[in-house]
Amino acid sequence: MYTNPSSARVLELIRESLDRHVLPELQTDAARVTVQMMQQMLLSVERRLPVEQQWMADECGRMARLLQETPAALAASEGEPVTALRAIAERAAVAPAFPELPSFDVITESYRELSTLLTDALGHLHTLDGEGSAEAPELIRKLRAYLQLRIERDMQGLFAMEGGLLGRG
Amino acid sequence: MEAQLERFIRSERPDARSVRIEDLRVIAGGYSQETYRCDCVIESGGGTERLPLIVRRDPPPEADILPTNRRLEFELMERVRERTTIPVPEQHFLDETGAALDRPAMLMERLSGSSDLTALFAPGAEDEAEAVATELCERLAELHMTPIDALDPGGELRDPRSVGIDASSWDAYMASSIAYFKANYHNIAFDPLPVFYDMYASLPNRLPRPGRLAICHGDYQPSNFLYAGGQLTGVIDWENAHVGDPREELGWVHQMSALTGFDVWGAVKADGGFLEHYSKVSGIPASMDDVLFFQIFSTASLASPILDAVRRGLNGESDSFLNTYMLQSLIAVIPSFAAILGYPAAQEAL
Repeated sequence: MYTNPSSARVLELIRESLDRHVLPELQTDAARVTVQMMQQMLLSVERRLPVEQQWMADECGRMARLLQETPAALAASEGEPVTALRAIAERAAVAPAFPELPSFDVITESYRELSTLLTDALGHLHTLDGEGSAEAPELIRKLRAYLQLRIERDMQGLFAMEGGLLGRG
Repeated sequence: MEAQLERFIRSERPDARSVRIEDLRVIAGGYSQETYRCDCVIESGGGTERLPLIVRRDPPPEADILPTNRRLEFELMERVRERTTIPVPEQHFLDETGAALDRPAMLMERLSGSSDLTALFAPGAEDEAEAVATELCERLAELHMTPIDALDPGGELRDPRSVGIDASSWDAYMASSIAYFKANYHNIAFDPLPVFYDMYASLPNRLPRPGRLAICHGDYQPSNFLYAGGQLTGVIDWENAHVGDPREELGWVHQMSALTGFDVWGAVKADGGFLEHYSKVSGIPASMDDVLFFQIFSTASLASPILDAVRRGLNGESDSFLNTYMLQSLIAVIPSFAAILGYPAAQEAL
């Protein structure tokens, strides 16, 4: 997938284009306010995207710990609410424990670096192929098998093309 | 803009007593040039003329997806109109430097016909689609049979983007083009694009048999023609014309027929299909392997300026949203490249 632009950057570019190219052309206040609402929500998503996976994983751990600690502090108490809190703690105890996720920037940097290395490697392998290397074709095939996985993920998971390529080309 | 156009046309037509522009409208959706339509009414001693016009003007440089030269396009279209039977609009006026219209612009005849291919490729219109597609195929063959010197006497289409292409022979053209694709990738790739680089780097190892060079339209595809009543009425948008291998156009028609869903390639039935009919009419031999090679080659050629346009959009050098939207076209073509290059099935673990 692309690291540049990130999803957040695409949203930023859309938001800016709404500001420059769409808002000035709108005819009614109602339409202008609707677009401004859209821009505000796009900004919210921009801010959320780089952190939501990391924060959700982190907060899963925090919530599980809190829920398990709560009935422990009520060890001397009894009654229906305490019983319910113990049941909650038992369910929280079996929730998956996620490892700490690296920040979005760290993952992005690594993905970009490895993609660059893989791209350069393809170039060198084609040079070797042209020179008659017996091993190069199979090594190219292996890299392409990985890239095919990447293409399929991009097409299935990320890419919207409903309505075809818009504009006149 | 009406006033600018009126002043410009008046300066080009000193015999005119008055020039009036009517019904000026933007034609939206084009990727490269700014395009307008209007009528021009010229009063002179000879009476009243009404010229239906198309105005093609360079976009601002930072927003230019495919920087090209209006004068070259203007002159080539006029030569094609005079020296072939390909329907091309008559060229009326050229503002080569942009002195009158802010940026370089050309004013040409507005041809009759529709560019809406939805109707042409709708169920029930198969005969009309076949007739138009067959004519497109035959006019393409005619273009490629026309001597290069007849259409490009000054040799300016041998390297129209001035990127170091050597069109002195087929071997030199292919080698210099591929070298340019590879070298330029490192200048314009806004992100690692391994499939694109794989495509560029693999080209030297899968060259087709040599052929001859010809004038290529450079973007011969479903968006760039007009039709009416089962006939081709116009071939437009010659801005990417260049001296190249004519099989590039076959690859591009094949590519864009699949990408746009308007299957010009599949609509030709004569002689067994587009490829066979083209080869018979032009005398230029071409195989399906050639078509697939040049599908990659021609896309590689057009991808270079598009990649650069995306890069400028992401860097903030351009504020046109089109630069960003071009990402979609780059993603859309990748699966077909992978198929042509023979990518194996995806593997979760290597």
